[in-house]
Amino acid sequence: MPSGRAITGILVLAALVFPGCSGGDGISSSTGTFEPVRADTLTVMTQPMPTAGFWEGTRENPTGGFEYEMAVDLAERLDLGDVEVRTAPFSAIVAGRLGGADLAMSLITPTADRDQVLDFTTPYIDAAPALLVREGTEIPDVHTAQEMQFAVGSDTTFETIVKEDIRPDAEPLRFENRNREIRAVLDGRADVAMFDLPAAEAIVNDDDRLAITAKLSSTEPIAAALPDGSTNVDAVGSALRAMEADGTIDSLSEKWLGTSITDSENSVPLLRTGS
Amino acid sequence: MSVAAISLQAPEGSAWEFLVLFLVVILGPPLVQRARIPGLIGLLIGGFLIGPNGLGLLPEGSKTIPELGQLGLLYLMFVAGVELDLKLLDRHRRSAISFGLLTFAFPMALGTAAGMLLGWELPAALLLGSLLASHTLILYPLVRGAGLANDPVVASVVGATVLTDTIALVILAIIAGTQSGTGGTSDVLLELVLGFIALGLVCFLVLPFLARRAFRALGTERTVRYVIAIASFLLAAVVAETFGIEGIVGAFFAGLAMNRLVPNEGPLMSRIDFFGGAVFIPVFLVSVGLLLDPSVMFQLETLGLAGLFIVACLGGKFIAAQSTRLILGANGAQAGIAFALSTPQAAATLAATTVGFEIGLFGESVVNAVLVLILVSVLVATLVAERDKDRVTLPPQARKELGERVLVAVADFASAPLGLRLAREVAAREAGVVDVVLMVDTATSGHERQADLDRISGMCRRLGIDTDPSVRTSVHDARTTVLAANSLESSLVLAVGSGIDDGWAEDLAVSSPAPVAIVRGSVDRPLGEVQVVALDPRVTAAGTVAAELVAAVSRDGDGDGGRPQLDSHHALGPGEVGVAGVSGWDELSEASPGAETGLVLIPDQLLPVEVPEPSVPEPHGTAAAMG
Repeated sequence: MPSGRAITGILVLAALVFPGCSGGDGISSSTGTFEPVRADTLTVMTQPMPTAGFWEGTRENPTGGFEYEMAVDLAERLDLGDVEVRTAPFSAIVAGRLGGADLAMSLITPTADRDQVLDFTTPYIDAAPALLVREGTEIPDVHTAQEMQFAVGSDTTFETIVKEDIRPDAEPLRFENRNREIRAVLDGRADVAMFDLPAAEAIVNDDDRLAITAKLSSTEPIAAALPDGSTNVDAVGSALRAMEADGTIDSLSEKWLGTSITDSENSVPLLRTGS
Repeated sequence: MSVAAISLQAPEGSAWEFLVLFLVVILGPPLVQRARIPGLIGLLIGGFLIGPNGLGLLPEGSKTIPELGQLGLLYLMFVAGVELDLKLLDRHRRSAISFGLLTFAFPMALGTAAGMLLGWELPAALLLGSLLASHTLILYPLVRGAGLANDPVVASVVGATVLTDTIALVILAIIAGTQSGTGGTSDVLLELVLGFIALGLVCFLVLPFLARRAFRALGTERTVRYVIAIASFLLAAVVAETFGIEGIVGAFFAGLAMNRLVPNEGPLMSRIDFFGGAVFIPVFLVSVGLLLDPSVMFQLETLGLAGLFIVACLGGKFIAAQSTRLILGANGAQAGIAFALSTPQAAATLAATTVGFEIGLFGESVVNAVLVLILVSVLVATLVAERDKDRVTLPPQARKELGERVLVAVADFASAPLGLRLAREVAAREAGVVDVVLMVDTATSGHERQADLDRISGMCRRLGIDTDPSVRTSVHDARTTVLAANSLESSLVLAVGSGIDDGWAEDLAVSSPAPVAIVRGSVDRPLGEVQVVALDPRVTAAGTVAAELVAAVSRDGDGDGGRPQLDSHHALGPGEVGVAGVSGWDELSEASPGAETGLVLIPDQLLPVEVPEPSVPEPHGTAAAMG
């Protein structure tokens, strides 16, 4: 058993082993160290802006949004003074091309394939896939859905969900840009588009010609993505968990998506797919 | 239909996840125990293997096991509270408090210092200190098995656990509340204070009252009793969470509150242990294992943290254990046992670490380092306990409290309700257990035995006694009862009825390993409605037992029922029960209650030579007034 003197010695030794004790770049917090690409700046990658409810404004002049304000709050928690926004197509982001950003926040669901090229944090939302339609369109059951023309984002998990769970008669239309995907529903080229429920709610809040007609029973976790092998995952994950624990995420959801995340799950009818 | 048309699907869904989970629960512990490693480590490793950082058998983002693990965490903390031996804390109050403060203070100070040394913020450093300061009595069964349960040092450590875990969880509640609360610090602290007041009221007033009423009303319906226990900790957890206090704190308090209602040796505790050991607690440990990440665990940073935690925790616990030499007069072996008992980190440590992780105060490195600490602390403590347990001189057998384990030996049904009611009340005072043995003669057929068993079981259910009665075929009731009392280690034997052998109860009184009270009378009313009167409370051992029995069952607890003491059982009126110590064979064998009255007689100073032979019963003389 160690004696008291030995313990003191080991603690002193620890001070030498862990340079964070003297204010260096080692372990400076119980949640790991965050080392930004650019000094004092959190560089965040997302899809081309705006993304209703999530990223408002332009890349050069972002004005708000759920994920944008999460990024600002995250920067504060990581003791960084500024947030820089970069954009790239969703398919590029999930292919691991983050363009030198510290992380990406763009409604990304962790999957095994994506995990090969990216590192994911603890999910900050669990959202059900939702069906976005023109106001007045009804989808009471999966058979009705199968007769409709679907629109999905390229390289999103919705492609797989639509094909495997809904199994529509017609091949879904694929879109690189989500604003074009929404327009396809509005102008009648597609009958229904699939988005995460919070994203769909933000779209509907923005445009009363659209409505959410149903959601699926499964949920998709949404997490921040970091470059593969990043040493910042622990620090970002811890900060996101703290944001969830202190209610920040829920209040941002209410502010930008019009409803708390937990409430929104209950207000939309369920579409049973039989899968 | 051709074979090619068959399409097999990769296993997925809840059934698959539960299958994988239970395979880990089945295989994990025995595999690691072969290497003399505690079974819980096998569950942690198993969790890692099936998790995203291992073989990935569970789908990405699956919440089935983590959410079930949360329930397991609450269950674990409830069990930690309900299993603590509060009687030991009471008996060794001063030494338990002294040791509790020391074994909390040293690791707390060293852990907090280590956190500060690492440059952590104060809340994280304090949480680290508090989680290192708690401990789990993993090795208590080993020490108890070595006959050391009554060793004063062991008893003090067990009692100290109440203190260390309570303080650790209060610190956790304050830190988690201030870190995740949305208002100012003063608002959060006020909310916590109100929360602890509400939690205290719910746990220590409302919950025991409701549970006691429910147990009485619902008798011994096993599933219902068990579900009431589950509901109790869920209620406490909900109350705690309503005030921003972690649910585990509520669950632990509920365990403390239910402690006296759930005797450690009783059937309900067995059920709680069974389901906890089979499902809930393993699931929690497996869910923690999902967080294990070798790529993080074997980083220099994580191992460095683990090393520091180990030094702070084991060092602090060692200093505190050595202090027992000064404050408790312990020898080296006893100090070693104190170290072995107070060092293992499991329940409270895991709980606090999990909460710290969930609120973003701890990162994955810290979680993995704590898991290393748990492994090392359990291993080191096991080695020390194995080394020192045989070096401690066995303590003298402690006198059992009367109500700790009451054996009701029923020789006939007429007096059984009175005996069972008396046993229930006496046991309730000590949070004890009631065992019921029904004796039948050899001529009784199997069918009749089953009918008798159903009848006595029904009585127990009706009276709300949680026990599994047994039937014993007897040719000698006294001998049968002595054997039962020996094997059950009874603290009190209630000999109920006259049975096949006249004088069996008197025979029992001289050879029983525990005090004997002879119960006679057919009164079958709640004892609250029975006038219990002490008859001649003599200054003898029997008189002391009589006084304790009266205190247990009388409504005002002082034994005289507010009435003048009667000097003879003949003066008992309908609905009254007399309790007395008797020292003469004649008065013992001749004392017979009238209709609707009851007698509880405690034989005293009866020598074996005076025992009437069962086969040649003493001729009954005229009734003699007692006293």
